[in-house]
Amino acid sequence: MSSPIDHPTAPAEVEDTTIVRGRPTPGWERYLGWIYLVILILATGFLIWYPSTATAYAVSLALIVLMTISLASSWNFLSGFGGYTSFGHAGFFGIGSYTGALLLHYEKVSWIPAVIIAGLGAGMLALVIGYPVLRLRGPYFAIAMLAFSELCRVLITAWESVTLGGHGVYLPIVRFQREEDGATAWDRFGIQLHNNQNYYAMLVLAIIAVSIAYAIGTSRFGLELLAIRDDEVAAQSMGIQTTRVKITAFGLSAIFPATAGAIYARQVGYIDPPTVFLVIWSIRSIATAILGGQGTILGPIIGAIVLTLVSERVWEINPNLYQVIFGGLIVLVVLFMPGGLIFLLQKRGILPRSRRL
Amino acid sequence: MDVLQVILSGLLLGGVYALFAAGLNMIFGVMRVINLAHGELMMLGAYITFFLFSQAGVNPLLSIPLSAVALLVLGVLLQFTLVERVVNQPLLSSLLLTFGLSTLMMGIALNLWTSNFRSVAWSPLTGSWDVAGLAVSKSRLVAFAIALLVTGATWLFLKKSIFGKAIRATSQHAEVAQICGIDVRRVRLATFGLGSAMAAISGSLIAMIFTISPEMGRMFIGKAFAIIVLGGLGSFAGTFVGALLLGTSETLAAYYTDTQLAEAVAYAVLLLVLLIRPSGLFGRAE
Amino acid sequence: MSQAAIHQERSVVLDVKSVSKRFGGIQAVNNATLAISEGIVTGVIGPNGSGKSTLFNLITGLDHPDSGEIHFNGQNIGQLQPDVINRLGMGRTFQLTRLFGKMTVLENLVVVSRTSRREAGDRAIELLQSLGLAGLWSEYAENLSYGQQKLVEFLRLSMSDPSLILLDEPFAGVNPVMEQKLLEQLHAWIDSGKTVLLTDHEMAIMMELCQEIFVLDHGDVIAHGSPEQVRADESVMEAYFGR
Repeated sequence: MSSPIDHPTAPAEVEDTTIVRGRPTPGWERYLGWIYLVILILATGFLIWYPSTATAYAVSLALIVLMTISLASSWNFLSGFGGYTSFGHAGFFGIGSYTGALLLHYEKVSWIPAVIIAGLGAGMLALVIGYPVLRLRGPYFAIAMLAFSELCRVLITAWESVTLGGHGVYLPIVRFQREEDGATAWDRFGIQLHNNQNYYAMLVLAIIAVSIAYAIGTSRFGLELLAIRDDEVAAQSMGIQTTRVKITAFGLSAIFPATAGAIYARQVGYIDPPTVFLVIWSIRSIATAILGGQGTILGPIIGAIVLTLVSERVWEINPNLYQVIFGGLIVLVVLFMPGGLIFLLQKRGILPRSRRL
Repeated sequence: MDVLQVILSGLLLGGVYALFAAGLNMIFGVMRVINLAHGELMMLGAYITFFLFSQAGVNPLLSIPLSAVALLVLGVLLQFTLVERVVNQPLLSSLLLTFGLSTLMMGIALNLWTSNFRSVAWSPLTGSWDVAGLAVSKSRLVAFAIALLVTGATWLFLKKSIFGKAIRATSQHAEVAQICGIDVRRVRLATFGLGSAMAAISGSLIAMIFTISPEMGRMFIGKAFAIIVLGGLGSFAGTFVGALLLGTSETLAAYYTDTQLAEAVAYAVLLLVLLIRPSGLFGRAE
Repeated sequence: MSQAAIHQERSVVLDVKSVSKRFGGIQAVNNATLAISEGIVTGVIGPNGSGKSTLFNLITGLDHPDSGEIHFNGQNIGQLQPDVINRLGMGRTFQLTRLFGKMTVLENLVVVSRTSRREAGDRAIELLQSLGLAGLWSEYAENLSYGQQKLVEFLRLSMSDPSLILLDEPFAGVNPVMEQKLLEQLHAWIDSGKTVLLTDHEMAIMMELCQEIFVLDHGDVIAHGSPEQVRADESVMEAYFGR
């Protein structure tokens, strides 16, 4: 075992592994970042190309998968890594939905700025309410966020003059563009982009969400969140600025359900309070995240794919079983697969063991 | 006069809320489990009363012991098979488990009974009595009386009976209770069963006052949390006081503004209390 | 060295003045006054329930005094948060080790450091090697033995290079070999000029290690002085062996 003091500029070597940038990285994990990057590029390429051959139904399904990935990944920021179970995703989804929808309804801005404002606005709101709310310990925080989501729903319903209350908000549908004769490949691609705008928007959102999840998972910020999850009192006693860390994670995580909500509103063309504030959005985020594996990067992706495909199948059979499936799934996962699919796959040796996943 | 009537109406409603919240409080006290499915247990009690009334013409008051027993059994079963497993695990597990159960039960109910609103319109209890010049809703008064009875009986049970003391001991310090020879597992089974029964009774009573639907559980659990947090986790008296306060402020809000905002009262109260004084009015600081 | 001489030569780094804390019906700390001098080992002893842990929590910010003041290097820290106090240069261990169980030993050390991650990683390995624990760097903290956890907690403390170190019953339940290592670490800290405040029930070690001792009973400071003075004090005997 060579001493790290001998080579102050080279990575320390302990046994046959390497410590790179202060993180333990046995063998193959050194390349994890590159592996992810390659997968991301390939997947993105595939997903960009996808609408050109898929049916409209398949594309809308893929949109839901991408949305669920964003929801679950962002839920992980505070709740997976940091251990603060949040039921607030429904609230932020609804707020983002309404912000985006109303901006478009009153024709204040075009859709891309509307969606971005919805997301960032929710992020800022989260930073503001985060300070008082994150002082609460575990169960109190969970209850507070449940109350917050419901309170948002009620207030939006009541503020009829602006939000049109229970009547709901109609959004202009995107006009389908047809190919002209003699269109170049580039033209065709432009049309494809236009006709599937919401899908591509969700794709961008999902990529950002997963990238941030990766950045958190491999940074000191992520370590601080894990420390908070394990023992917040000890973390604080050791000098970790727990309040700042929690609020940052909370603010970041709120951006995604809000943006997704805004895009979703555009996709379905009509929203009303019960629909977008439905606690099902929180359920979906949580179920996906824990199904895939809490506090992991790949977990939400795997969870989203599995969950969406399963629930679509279920929807075809019997729409009302939707909730039953979700509920039953959560119960089963909590009891028998608390580590989620990722952990299961790791135990079976299908995936290499690493908390970095 | 009008205002007094409204306040009285709210107080009566608060009594029923208290019964519901007390069960939730007890479960939390004994097992440190936040039972997010409590609302659905209430909902099931309400539907038992509804179906017994509409299909078999059973007097709603008579259906109360039936729904209580049914949910007692269900509660014990749920505890035995599911909740017991997450009792000593971190909070997230029990939170998610009961959340999953809640979603599951609500989903099953939606499937079986659709989301239409149902009501129990039993003629002896429709309309109101004249009490000292105030019009008092018959159903609310009777519901309040029964809720008071059950809550009082439970309180007596906890205070005087041996098993009641075992429950209290466990909720104060489970490990020590176990060392003293108390079968904490049995205590937990009984507590969840009892809490479920209380939820069921409150559901039956609510069915006599309001229309019901499979989604009602979600609404009431928010109120229960507001009550428990306001009154202070672990305090029986606090729950009662908190419930009366909430019932009254809700009814007043509905009277002066519109019903929508009345719903917000519970959540607003909850958030305010959590932010200003998390231990509530009577709670012990944990 | 006489008590007067100790105080003359050294400045007071931690000044606890008439601090009180009540929990419901119990007065955990009652008008306690302590002065911790720089560069020496000060001990706080007392029977169970005397308020030692509460006092520690008040000093490190996990709780706030109802009355009285606490000054650290001249700064009033009574109402500050634990992370702020830690950043001012105070570190602590806990009676029952509180490592981050689901993180590796290395991560436990790196997460609390304030330098760049590479530097932190290097320093962490250095510290681990100094105690012969380098092989454990990738173990999850919850898998370590009790003694190993105690040592890692010590190292975690060192990562932020505090000037005042509070140890809460560091020798509880520790075997002689481990005890030796802990003592070595302690002496290393003193040699580098740090101040140590500790509490423990191991009387022999306390008497030998500390240059000054405060005795708590039921929240009151009932005696203080050199180990010899405290040993001879009758009120201390009464407190421990009953009245």
